[in-house]
Amino acid sequence: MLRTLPLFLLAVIFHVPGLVISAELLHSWNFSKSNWSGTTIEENAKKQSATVPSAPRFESDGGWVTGASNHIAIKGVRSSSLPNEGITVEADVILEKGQQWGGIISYAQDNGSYERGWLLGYNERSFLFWVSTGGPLKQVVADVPFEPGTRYRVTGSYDGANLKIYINGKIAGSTFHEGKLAYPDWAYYAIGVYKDADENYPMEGRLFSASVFNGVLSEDQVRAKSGLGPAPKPVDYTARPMLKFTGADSARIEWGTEFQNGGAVAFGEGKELDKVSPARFLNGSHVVELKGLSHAAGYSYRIVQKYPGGQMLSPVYEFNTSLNFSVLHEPSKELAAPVSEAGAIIEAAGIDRGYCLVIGASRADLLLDLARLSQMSIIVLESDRARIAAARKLLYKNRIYGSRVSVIEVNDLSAAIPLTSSMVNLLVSLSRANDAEITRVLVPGRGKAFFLSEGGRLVSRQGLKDSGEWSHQYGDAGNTASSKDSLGGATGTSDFAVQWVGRPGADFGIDRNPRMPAPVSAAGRLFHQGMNRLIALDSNNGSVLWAAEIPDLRRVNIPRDCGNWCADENNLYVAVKEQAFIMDAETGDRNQVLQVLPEAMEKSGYQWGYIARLGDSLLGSAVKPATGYTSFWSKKMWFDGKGANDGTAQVCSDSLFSYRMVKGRAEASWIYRKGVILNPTISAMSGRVYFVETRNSQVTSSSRRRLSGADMWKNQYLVALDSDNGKLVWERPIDTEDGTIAFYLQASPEGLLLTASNRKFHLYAFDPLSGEPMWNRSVPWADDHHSGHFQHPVITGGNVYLQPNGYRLSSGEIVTTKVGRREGCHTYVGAGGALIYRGKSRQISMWDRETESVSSWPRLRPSCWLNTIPASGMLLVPEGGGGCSCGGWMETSIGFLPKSRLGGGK
Amino acid sequence: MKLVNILLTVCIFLWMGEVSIAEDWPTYRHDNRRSAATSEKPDLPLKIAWVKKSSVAPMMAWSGPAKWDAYSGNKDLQSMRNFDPAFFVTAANDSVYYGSSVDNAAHCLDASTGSERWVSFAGGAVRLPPTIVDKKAYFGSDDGYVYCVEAESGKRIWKYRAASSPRLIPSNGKLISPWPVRSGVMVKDKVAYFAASLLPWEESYLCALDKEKGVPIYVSKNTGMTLQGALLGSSTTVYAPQGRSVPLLFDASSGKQKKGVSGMGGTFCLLTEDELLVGMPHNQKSSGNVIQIGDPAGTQAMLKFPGADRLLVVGGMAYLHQGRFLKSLNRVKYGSLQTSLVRLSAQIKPLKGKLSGLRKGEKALLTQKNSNGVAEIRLKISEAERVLKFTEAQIASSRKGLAGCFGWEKECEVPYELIFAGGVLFIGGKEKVVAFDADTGKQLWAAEVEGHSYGLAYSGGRLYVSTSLGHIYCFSG
Repeated sequence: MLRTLPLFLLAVIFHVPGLVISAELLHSWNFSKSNWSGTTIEENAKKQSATVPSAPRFESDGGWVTGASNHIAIKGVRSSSLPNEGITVEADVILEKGQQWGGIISYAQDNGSYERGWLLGYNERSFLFWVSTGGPLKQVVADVPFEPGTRYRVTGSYDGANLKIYINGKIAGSTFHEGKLAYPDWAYYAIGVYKDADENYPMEGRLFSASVFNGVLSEDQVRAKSGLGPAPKPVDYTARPMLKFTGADSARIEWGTEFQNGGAVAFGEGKELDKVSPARFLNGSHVVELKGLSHAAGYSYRIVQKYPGGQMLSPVYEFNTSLNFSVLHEPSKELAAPVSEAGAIIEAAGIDRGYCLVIGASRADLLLDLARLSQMSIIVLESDRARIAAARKLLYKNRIYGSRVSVIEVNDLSAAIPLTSSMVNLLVSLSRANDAEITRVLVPGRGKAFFLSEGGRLVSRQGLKDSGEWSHQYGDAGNTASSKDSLGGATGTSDFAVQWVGRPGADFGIDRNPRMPAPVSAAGRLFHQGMNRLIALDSNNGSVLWAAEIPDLRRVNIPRDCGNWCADENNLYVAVKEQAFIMDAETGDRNQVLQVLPEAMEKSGYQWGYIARLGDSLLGSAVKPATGYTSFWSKKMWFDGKGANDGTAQVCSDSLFSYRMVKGRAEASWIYRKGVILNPTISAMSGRVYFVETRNSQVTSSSRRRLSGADMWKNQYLVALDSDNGKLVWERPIDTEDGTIAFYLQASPEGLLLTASNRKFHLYAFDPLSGEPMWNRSVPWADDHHSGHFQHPVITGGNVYLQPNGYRLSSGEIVTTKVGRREGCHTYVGAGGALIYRGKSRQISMWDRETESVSSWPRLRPSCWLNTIPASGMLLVPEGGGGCSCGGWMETSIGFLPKSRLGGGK
Repeated sequence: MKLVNILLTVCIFLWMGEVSIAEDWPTYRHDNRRSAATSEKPDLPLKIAWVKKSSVAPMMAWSGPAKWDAYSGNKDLQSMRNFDPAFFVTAANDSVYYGSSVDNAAHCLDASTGSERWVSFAGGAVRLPPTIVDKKAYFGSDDGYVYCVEAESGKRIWKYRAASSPRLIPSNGKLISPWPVRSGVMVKDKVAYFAASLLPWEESYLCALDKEKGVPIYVSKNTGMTLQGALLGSSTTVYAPQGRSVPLLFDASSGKQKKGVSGMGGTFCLLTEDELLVGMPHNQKSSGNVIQIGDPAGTQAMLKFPGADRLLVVGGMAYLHQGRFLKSLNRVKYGSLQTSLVRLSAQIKPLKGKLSGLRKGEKALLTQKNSNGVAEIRLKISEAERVLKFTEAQIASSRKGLAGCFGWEKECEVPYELIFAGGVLFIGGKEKVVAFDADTGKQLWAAEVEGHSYGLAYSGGRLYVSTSLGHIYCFSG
């Protein structure tokens, strides 16, 4: 559009409220392909030209793709040639992702306290415009977040008094600031990058045009110029995308839209999207199989969905094949069809993954077939050296020895089995009869033994009576931060033996998993989240059951929000933006995709906040878009500060709703909507959902839902709903101390515990049946750093523990003042007779509730919130501390079995 | 007669300078110092002789490093435990050997053809290549055992497990002992050394065995450590890397722990002939790579090379890749200057303090109108200023001298491995291997391979390249 304007001078005179009233087009860049000559481009008036390091790339919409080797940084532009009293800067842009330091077009230096020039850019959520008038820069941030992959016209202006930012012609923020623009001695004239003397952060996105005006455009003129060119819409998903590795060099991407045709994936190694693979429509989803992927390589991809009249483009997503946990090793393809009983055994047992132990190596055909018909790791015990040699030879020839099947030499096939206890999913005995030793090695509750010599008799090992689950963020839907697992009586680290060690490792997660959702575990499975990915492991042996890359999964700063997933015996429930996936816990198949209720909210872009399973209900809450925390880069995103801008603002929901689970399918059930609900307070127990909401009109009428400030602590109600029908059971106005640092609610039969943290902790207990207050106490923080000031209390054994004290929940009576001293950012969890936390020398530690003694695992680091969970009769520590560049941490996932449960396997 | 012998010897020596003398590569990175340097001179150009391809990439003990330290703003964190990214080889007597983390075995191939001569299975992954000494092959396994087999046949001679417990636990779809042997086996004189170790809260074992019989000379039991990566050895000391912590030193004769070298880590280590330890930092605080040279004796300053990924020491010279360049360095002169620089720099603060004190004294004396005292103290100030100036000049001179220690530099992509063979530097790169003249930096030869070239070895006129895909390439003249 700008090319139609006079090239050398566009002078417009408007009446504007600020000091400067004229606007002269100084530079006008049009980045369409025809304007480039090789790697060089000139702005329309030929006042500036620029060369980029690599040949420019263009998307199908004509946008110039910016990145590490494609951005403009012109040195030598004199500040005297740039606006000095009033300025307008605009850009037609698509961002693929936000970042802490994002620049679209700038002439700036921001080096410590030396801040000069101007910058139209963005942060991790929003566009922004800043100028310097000599002191600290003055910034205006757009009041609405941008959506990656969406095209925007962004305009920033400064007239010597008013600093404004416009999005698509509409004012999106303004602030008052006075003074003339102050320039640095030198700076880069930068486009598509945040670049100054110290920093260089390329923009990942596309640019269509950018302009600089000497002077200020009026609001009317900005509005008039806001028409964007034709652009792809973001993909409107009915099922958000998910990638799973399917073999050593292959992956499958699946997603849903309202269309059955026209789906495709553009992908390539590194940042390139040089290959396109069309999608098949399969079982209601678009499916693309990627083949020939390189080993341990990073890839980018984008989903393309054609529709009548145009195409939709997703943001660019990433995956890395070094995180391919699929079964990579299959027997030679030349093998004949399976002939053994392997298929029947697998079918009878209903087990096809985990560890298989075969006692006796005489049936090499069986071993081969077990390998090719399952995903199991197969261990074979044999005492006869000739048989061992023959089996190894055959398996090696078929290229599965070691990687899928290993033969262990033992002296006596009927003697002790040299394996740890409780680790075998499927045991196949060729000749040995059932005995205690066989029972010992089977996984409790799930492990089965198949006795070939006894006509295929199948024996199961019973589950442990005193094991527990960790099915929700804080253990249970009531947020107690404890498990009912007795841990076999273990109360100190020396009471445990390592049961398994291995994947996932430090490359799986976000640096230290900063306040990320906790792992969950149910029915012997352990689920863990990383950087937009999740993995399902067998709790007892660490086997990878399945894994998935979900680009929109990430949620951080959980202490000011709530977890995004939960698990039960059959399913994993995962909230992903406006949807929730119901995934088969054993296979990872996505069985159902739910939308936020009600439909009106869905259309407003509401996202799924809270998620929990209680009875037949799947509970959810509706959160406005871009309310939850997703940023993780920088010290600030550790969310340890105390200010309102330090991540202490609470994520709040506009409604609670429920689906009812009927024969494994979820059906819409009820909706509750009244006030603004604080997510960290939503808790559920025994047919009730409890929460705190504010009905203050200043808050409810506001468009913001990431809340801080005095109003949100007014007109608060503690509410109990019937989880079956959403009807009000009771509600009670409350007036607690403001929870400016943290505000938690926990539900247990002995009482509801509300914890508000501001300058100290304030505990309030209520009767769960009536909401009547029971007691309250205020206690100083034990410390105010490394999350000491927002620790989540633990309710276990009728007591509540919050460092350094323990209280009887029913009465508030102090039962101890010697809770083990916390030295790091993990929060406490409880199980059996112990609390588990980050203690001595910042290592994972246990505090024995009875003896009040402390023990630790040297060099074992937890995550920076909660990754150490007691469940499945074990203590499970999926890796969460990686990225901490201090200390010699082990950086591995690990499972501990109480020694009391080792039996003979010591 | 004696003179004739001398002349003959000289002639032979001169003749040897012109031709290549085959030399074994009998252990991981050639010798117990892990120098990765052989005197055997390659006959370039080389051509592909054979490839042993693996259907499965190495199943490494540990996952890769975290992608970043977002809190500190550090990207490109170094992997500190990647001691098994490829099937490294050893070579002796026209055979080539490797251990496999995939099929849990040690393998012997015909060096001429690549055909398999024997396979010796263990109960767990074999992460470092067999050490070949006196026609025997020694290797360790994740099953907790060390094995000794005949180098020609693979027939087992003995095996030994340090831990008393036979218990195996799951790990990444395999089984391991809680005391896996991930140190390789270092053989020196009559002794085979290895470590069985994993968990810092359990006992770790540093063992010295009679290499013929496989019976212990000593078993050193320690806690609070996790020994992994190839052991290194000098005449008196066993060096045991720990990966994400500082390498530990043990008295070779007793197994007793010795004072170590602080500030180092990683499993990429080598020991110079003057017993300086080359390694990585002990943590990942540095953004990007760093190679360090430390002095366990504590007499020399730690040398740090930011941005360096690989470093090789051959006598007084070092070859390193730093930033985008492969460089040669007179490391003896560099080390001496750096030591002097550290010493001189340490003097600056006290000298300035002394000068400041004197000036304050001068001020006080002036206030007191003590003219004699003023004159006297001004002399001292003058002398202190002279010493400070001289020291600063020495520092400037040393700094200038440091730059002069570097010889040639050549733009070169990041190497995964760097070895020296008779004046030739071989660089293992991404999907290639390249040879440079060690004297001039001139590129002499290059070849393509599949995968990243993590392992290089040169022996018997053959270059072996082990890649991240588990492939082993043999190039010969």
